[in-house]
Amino acid sequence: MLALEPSRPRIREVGMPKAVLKFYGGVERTVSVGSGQTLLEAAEAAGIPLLHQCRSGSCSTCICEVLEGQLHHRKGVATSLLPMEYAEGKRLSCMALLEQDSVVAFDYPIDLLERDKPQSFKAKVFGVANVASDVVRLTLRAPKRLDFAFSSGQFLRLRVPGTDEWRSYSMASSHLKPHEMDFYLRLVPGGCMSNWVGNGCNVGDLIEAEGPFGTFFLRPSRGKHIFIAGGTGLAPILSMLDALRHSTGPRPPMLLSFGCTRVDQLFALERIDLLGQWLPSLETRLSVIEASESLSPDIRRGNPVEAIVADDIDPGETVVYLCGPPPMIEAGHRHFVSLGVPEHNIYNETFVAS
Amino acid sequence: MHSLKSLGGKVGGSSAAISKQYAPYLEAEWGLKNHWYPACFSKDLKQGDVKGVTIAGYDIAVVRPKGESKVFAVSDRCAHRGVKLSARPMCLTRDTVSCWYHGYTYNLANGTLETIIASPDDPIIGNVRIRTFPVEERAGIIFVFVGDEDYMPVPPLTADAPIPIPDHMKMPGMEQDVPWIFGENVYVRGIHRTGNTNWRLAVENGFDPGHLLIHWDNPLILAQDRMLPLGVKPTAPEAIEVIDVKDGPKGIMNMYGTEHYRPVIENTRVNMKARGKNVMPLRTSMYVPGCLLVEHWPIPGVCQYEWYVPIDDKRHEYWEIIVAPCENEEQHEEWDLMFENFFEPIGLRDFNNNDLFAREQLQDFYENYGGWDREVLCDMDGVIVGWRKVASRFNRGIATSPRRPKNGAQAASDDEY
Repeated sequence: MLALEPSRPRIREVGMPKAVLKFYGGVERTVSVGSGQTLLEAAEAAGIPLLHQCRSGSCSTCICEVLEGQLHHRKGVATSLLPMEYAEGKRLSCMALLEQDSVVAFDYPIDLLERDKPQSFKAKVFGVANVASDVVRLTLRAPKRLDFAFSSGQFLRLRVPGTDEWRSYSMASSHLKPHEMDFYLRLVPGGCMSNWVGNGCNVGDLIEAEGPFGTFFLRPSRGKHIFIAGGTGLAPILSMLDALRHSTGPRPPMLLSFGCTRVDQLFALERIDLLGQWLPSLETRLSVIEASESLSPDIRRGNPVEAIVADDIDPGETVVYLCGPPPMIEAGHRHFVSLGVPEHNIYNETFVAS
Repeated sequence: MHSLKSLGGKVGGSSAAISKQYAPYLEAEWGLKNHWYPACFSKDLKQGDVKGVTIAGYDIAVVRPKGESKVFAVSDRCAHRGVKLSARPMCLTRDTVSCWYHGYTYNLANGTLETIIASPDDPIIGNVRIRTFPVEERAGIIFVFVGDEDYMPVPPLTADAPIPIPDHMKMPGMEQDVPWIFGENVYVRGIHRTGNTNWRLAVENGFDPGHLLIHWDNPLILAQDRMLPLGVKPTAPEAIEVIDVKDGPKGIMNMYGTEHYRPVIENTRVNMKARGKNVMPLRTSMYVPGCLLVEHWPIPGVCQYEWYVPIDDKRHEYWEIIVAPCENEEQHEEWDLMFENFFEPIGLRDFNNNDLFAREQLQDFYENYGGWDREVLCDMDGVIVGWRKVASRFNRGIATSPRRPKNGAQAASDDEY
């Protein structure tokens, strides 16, 4: 099939370094990057939308990987990129300055933003329920007339009613019914969203929302899928498992490892059990760190990362999706690299409760 | 007179709590996709024929070109203006099918637009295509693999049909071999017709242990003086067995003929007794995506296969096939005589008309009155719930409505969310 590209006059800026942007799926675009201009700004100026959110180096949404050349981050700015990731050549587009002609890879297709353009809207609360000692399931709906879609694994930003605070939460529900969304919120003492959910929130309330955002979504692969979920990091993974259930072609082997600190924090177990019923190729492991004596035999002691051992890795191909708090992501990353999973097959989303 | 209040008990049901156990099955209004389904009998597709069938919402044209024994299956919607190719068959070469309207002509093997009869130099030629479907012709039936075009690898046809019954799985007390539709030396003949019922209700009626009552006064039963219980009651979990063959058929079997199903011979409250002296056991099993095997029916040693092929969300194509062992021409003639004068008129038509009637009676409640959440099942329905779970687990995908909202139509509702 021919890709139709709008023809644009080619302006030749003398002396400016060029960045070749390689998108998932093979599409490439070249942009000139001015001095002091970030990669994100340069791409936007050239009419190429890149996934991004905070523009301040903290959310990691705009992450990319240097394949050739040199980019460095603005001096004096703390970012959420781990030193390890920086050393591997990962950069945040909103912070990255180009030093010479370079090639940079983005792990999403160029049309992603066109597919699921972020929008602002008012969502309506359809349900709120305690599902574990410190987890609440919040059910929201987007207005029917809104042309809204997301990819499984993505998140929304929600404005805490009555404040100017925004928080990000991943959809746990199916992308096939994008207007009917479920979220799992961890209650944090004193947290402003926690206060609202715990006290002020009522069915019928409206809440400002923006999204979808994020690059944590399923990459096409027939290989074994390993999902590591820590706490409410389970949410986007539930949506992904549902997407795999509706995917085309024989379903890949799947292994879900879900863990919390304590037994009373585990949630969505019935849904996980049903997914296991409907997906014969899905295996699930549950872990808790602080185990009591009377632990059910289905639940192991430890963290969800350690629950995966060398035998679980498919030597053919394994892709790993990690979602949870930062220490879990780091530990998971190290663990899977040590088990021989290539870096480019490890995807993660960091969750910070607030 | 009792007042309603003093009667107690539940009026109407709420099965919503259990129904989420098989939520994928409830989503499958339009059927299961990425499965093999019968599309038409070989005898009904002569050379030069283009026949249109709709399966799980997919409009499919099956084509046997002139001078060609092979069958092809392509989308039955012309890329040009969407008319059905099968509406007025036009098959002009051995490797193409043409649209009768403006002459868009497609390659049958890959669906590519090869020419437009009225516009042979058109630049879109070669750049447009309609989709094709895997097709297989076996046992005198043309089967089509219906679903996503990029589903790979396509599983074998035999994975979507009843298993051949091996010796160790024979029904207790029934020594005869059970003929398999895809086996050697079998006689296969049947009919199909449209039922005005969602495919799932048809499936569930097919092997429902409690539905014998609708057949109780049937001529077939009376003429054979066949012992037909009022119902059969499962007494242990072993009454049903899940069939899960690796890379093969998935289904569920009623273990009739074992001690785990107890026939109900009498109901004293209404003073009704099962009739008949001749004990002629039969056994039923159901396979994903909705194919029934009735062993030893309508007579011992013969089988009836049934498919309930979803057409859309309200109709199914009801396939009724007799499979009998057949070694030679003489036996074939004998089975023809039996089929034309007994199996078809008395069995497939008269007897199974009761089933069509019953399914059509279900439709209204399930379609318009929330039946899936309001039914009140009892213990004889265990296998039906079991089937729903099997179908939820082993389907290769859920078909969705192919219909699009009317152009420009907005969700006309005051309800914003």
